[in-house]
Amino acid sequence: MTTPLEARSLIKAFDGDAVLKGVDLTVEPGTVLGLLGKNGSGKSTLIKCLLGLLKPTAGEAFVFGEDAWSLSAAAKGRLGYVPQEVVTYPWMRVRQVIAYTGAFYPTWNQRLADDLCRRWNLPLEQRAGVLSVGQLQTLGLVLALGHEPELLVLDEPVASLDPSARREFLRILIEITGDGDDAGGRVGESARPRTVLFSTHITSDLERIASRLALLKDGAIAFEGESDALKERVKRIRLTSRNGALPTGIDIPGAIHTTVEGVLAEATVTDFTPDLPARLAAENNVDVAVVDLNLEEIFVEMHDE
Amino acid sequence: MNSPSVTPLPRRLAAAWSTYTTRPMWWWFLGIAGLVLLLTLVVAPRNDEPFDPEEIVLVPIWLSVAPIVFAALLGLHIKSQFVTPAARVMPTYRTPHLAVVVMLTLLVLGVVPLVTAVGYGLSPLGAMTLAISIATLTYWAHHHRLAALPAVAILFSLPEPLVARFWFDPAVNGWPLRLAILIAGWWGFARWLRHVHAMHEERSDYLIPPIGAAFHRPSRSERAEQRKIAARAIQKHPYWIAWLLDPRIDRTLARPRPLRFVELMRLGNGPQSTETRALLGCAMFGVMWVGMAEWIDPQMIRQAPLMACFMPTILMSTLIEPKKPLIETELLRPVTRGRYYSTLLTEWLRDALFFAAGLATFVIVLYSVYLPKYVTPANLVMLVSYVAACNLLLCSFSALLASKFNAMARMTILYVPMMAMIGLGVWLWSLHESYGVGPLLAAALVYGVIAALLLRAAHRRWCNYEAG
Repeated sequence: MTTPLEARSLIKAFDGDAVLKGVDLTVEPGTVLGLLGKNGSGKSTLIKCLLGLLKPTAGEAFVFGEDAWSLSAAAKGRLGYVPQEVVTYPWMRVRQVIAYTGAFYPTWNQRLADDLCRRWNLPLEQRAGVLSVGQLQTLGLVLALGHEPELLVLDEPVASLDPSARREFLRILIEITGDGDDAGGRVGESARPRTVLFSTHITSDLERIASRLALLKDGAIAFEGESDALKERVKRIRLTSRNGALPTGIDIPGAIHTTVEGVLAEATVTDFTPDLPARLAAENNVDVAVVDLNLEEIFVEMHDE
Repeated sequence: MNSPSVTPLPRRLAAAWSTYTTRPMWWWFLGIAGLVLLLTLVVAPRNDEPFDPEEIVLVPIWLSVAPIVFAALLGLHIKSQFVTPAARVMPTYRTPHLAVVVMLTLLVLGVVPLVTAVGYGLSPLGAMTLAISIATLTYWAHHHRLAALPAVAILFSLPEPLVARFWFDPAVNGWPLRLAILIAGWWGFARWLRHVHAMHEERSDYLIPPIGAAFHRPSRSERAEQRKIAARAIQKHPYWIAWLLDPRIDRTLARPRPLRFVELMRLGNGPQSTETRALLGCAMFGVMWVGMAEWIDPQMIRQAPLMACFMPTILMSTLIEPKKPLIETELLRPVTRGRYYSTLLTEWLRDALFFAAGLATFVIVLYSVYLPKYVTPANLVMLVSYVAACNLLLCSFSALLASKFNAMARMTILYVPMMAMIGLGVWLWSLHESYGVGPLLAAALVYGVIAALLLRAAHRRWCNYEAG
């Protein structure tokens, strides 16, 4: 089975300023990959390079094994994309926009599109130009899901949705990426494994649906792997001295932040191993407590590094 | 069984076609163009008289304006379809959309000139050559603004009998040159299609100019797009924003200096500086009159200042529309609503008056050359006052309407007072020999008072404008 998305040593520069500095990323079939990164970290640029909307300055991008810049119609037919700002024909009615889009996809599932519109309360007879930002985003999602794409790329798709629409969207995303029969034909009947690349700032959403995470930092992938693995790797460690104040320059392997106040020290480590607490306790004569971090805390810690 | 990778072409063509049939703008164009074509044919002189440009004054205008309007609308339509990610990520998107453009272009730029030429006994080859040449330049103007200049030059050169004969006179043996231009025109059109086909985000012309919104009420996403474009342009050309022109011209005319509040308000107000707009507008007006000088009765030059009255108003439309999407954010600047709108209105009027001053200068030059006996201090004061007053009135009225109507609707509404003022001006100017400058000066004074009242009403209405 071909890899849905792949970037090899991808570099993208605008007027000489490199936004992406050699990104290597592979999105395997059936994966829901959450792309995390600060504002301006290059998430949208990476997505655009991966889809052939921007031409890489160096390196390569592939969609289903094809060069992203010159994708075939067949590859495009297996791909769905929701940009940050959905643009459509303002004078057309929602129903007409859907029919127009469907005409380009051989696998278009009108029943699914109708079902999604109903679930998201999209007014079919309304002109697209007067839809609210959230409704427009929802329409963008319907257009991207209607042909039951094998690969769905979403660039901050839920930022404009209200909490209930966001919840519904995540539920649908879980359904379409669910294991085999879980989808139950409700959100498309395709048996093909769905792959999703999903960029967002809302880490709680990622925790709900992303099987893997990629953290974009300084133009490169700082972490790529399962979200549980990231949580296993990044921990907060609290040290309490058994005999007097701790030295300010205490050496904690893999620490990105360390604060020392008297007998207490706290550090966030990015390369946590199960033997680290015992080692630290023995080397520094301290009691060690390990605190689990959620994704948001990890995101903040890693970016404040 | 694997499903086919593309849907049938007729289905995709129908989808691309539906973007036209659902758009009211195209029905208006079809209705108006169809009506004009019908009227043109009904009144067509069916005789074997030799070609006389003076007998077909409106036909060259129809044969050049129709392709320009058509290409301007179609270029805008197709560009909006190709500056979205859909053009690159939707399968087989580009072919049907461009195929519809080819079909429409062949139909409109083939049939309209051909039928008109046959009806009037003009050269069909010349008429079709003119149509495709001027349309191709207009298509390209959506990507490179300078392409609009030769199109405008062709348009304004048509009143010149020699030029008109070249395009339309069947007796002129110029078919090799006409054919060469025809081929060049279609070749340019094919190159434009190729250019559109290859559009991508990193091209400098990958945006829709906000002026496109002057012809309809922009949607939320279009306003967002316009804000983005305005921000990008301001970043690229601080203060001297240049979309319609080559930025080099604008930079040459620009004098960088610290900005005052009123100048900050002008940001995003127009694609070029006031000076550039005024200079080009006057140049355009000048070309038109110089082109017509041999053809028209020199006494008609007397009416030049009156004809100039509406020009700034047209140009002002290009200022208001791009400003509208910015208002919702600009209103939150530390300035009161009242002051914000009074500054904005002042800037619009200032812009129009600047242009009017340029036109008045041009008219004085025109009078000095053709009608020197009229160049007296009293006459000059009167003419300049009348032009300025007309502009003030029309611009104030336009500003009043602008909070509710788009540019197209405004121009339609303004047509009646505009023609009335020109007509009144012509009549009062004809009384000049008997009554001196009094009547026109009195009219200018009345216009000034009406303009002040309209301006006050405009300010009140704008202060209640719901931005966003």
